Amino acid sequence: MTVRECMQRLEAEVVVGDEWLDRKVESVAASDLLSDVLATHKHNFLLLTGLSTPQVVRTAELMGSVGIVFCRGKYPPQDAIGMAKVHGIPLLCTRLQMFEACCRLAGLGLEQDSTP
Amino acid sequence: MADTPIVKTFPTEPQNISIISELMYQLKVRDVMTANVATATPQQRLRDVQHIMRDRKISGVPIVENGRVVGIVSLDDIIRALDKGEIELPVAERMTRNVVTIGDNVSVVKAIDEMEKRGFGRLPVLNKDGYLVGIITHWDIVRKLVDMLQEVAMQAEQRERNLAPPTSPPTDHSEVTILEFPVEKDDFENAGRASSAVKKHLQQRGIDPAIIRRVAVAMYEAEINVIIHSYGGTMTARIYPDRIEVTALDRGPGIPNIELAMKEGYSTASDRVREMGFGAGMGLPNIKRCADTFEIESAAGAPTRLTFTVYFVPRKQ
Repeated sequence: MTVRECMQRLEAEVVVGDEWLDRKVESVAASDLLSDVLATHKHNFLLLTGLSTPQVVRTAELMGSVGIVFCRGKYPPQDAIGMAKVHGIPLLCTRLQMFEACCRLAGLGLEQDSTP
Repeated sequence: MADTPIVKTFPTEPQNISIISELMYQLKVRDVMTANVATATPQQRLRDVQHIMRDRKISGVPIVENGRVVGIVSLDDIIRALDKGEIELPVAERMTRNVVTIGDNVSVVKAIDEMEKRGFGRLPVLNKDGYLVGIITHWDIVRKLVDMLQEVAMQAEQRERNLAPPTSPPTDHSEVTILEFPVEKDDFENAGRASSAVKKHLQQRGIDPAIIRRVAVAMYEAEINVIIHSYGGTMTARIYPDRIEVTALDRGPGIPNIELAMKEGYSTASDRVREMGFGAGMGLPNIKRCADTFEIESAAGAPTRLTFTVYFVPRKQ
């Protein structure tokens, strides 16, 4: 599963990072709480969120996330776009709500983490 | 599914609207207008104006005499002239004489209002002495706004690229390298810079990415804590050949009950912090989980010193 395939599933639009869409997605983390994202054990994950702040990009960068999808039509602020460019993190926007976005990505062979 | 183009409109966030309207009120017509205006004189032929429009790919030409706007010829006027066989007539005979103009010092918002009200796509711009200095179209405004928004992104990009370890250049790796970063209270804009710089440094050393991630997460949590809860302080990373030791030292106000602070879900963070996705009371437990050693010293009214170590050879799963 690549970022591009996820993008197509989510009918998402690329804000920045066309050149990084072939990166492999191993799992997905979906949260509006960055503290939860920082606690995940997942690697090479796509981050789905409803938060659109520069801290989302910082968190993704430090966690080695392969891309960020802003849900429900959120659009990242300009400074977040600048940061994402530097760190090679593709930013995508989808109109889907987070739950629907998760449903579309479920059952596609992405890793599931059952640890509480 | 991927073959069908999808047309989408995104609902605009209130904060984004406010950025744009702020920009529009700051912007004056002179900041946006095209200064190099193609003009014609009343004595020229409509044919000449037609050629100017074709060559410059424009749809309106102000007619000027002694620096003053005396008329304007639009693409519609030219089409009508072609239709009626009047294209060789002097401009003066067919130009619109009551030209609506706008001052170079008025705001872009006012210019948009004016264009809307009059139903014009372009307005000649006059300076305070009444001389023609430019022309403004909807397109000029849109392009300028897009430029300005992109400028914000580019500045952020530049800041991020310059984010390098600020002290002691990496020396011989058998010694200790010390990286120190001031962290200010409530400075969310710079939150995570220290962690990012340290991550970069460790990457340059070729440390295992899984180890780097544990360091980065623990350090980011500690950095956020200093920003959220303290009066400001310093993050110091000491990098030894076999480990990294990070200290977050703040200037107070201290933690009255460390045991409580360590409890998952306990937090004293403000609503603002929570809206940004932090303050869930997971920070300290997460640091402890990521690190090989973890110590915290504090008391009410005293500075807080948090120190953790991560070894470069894994000791933890």
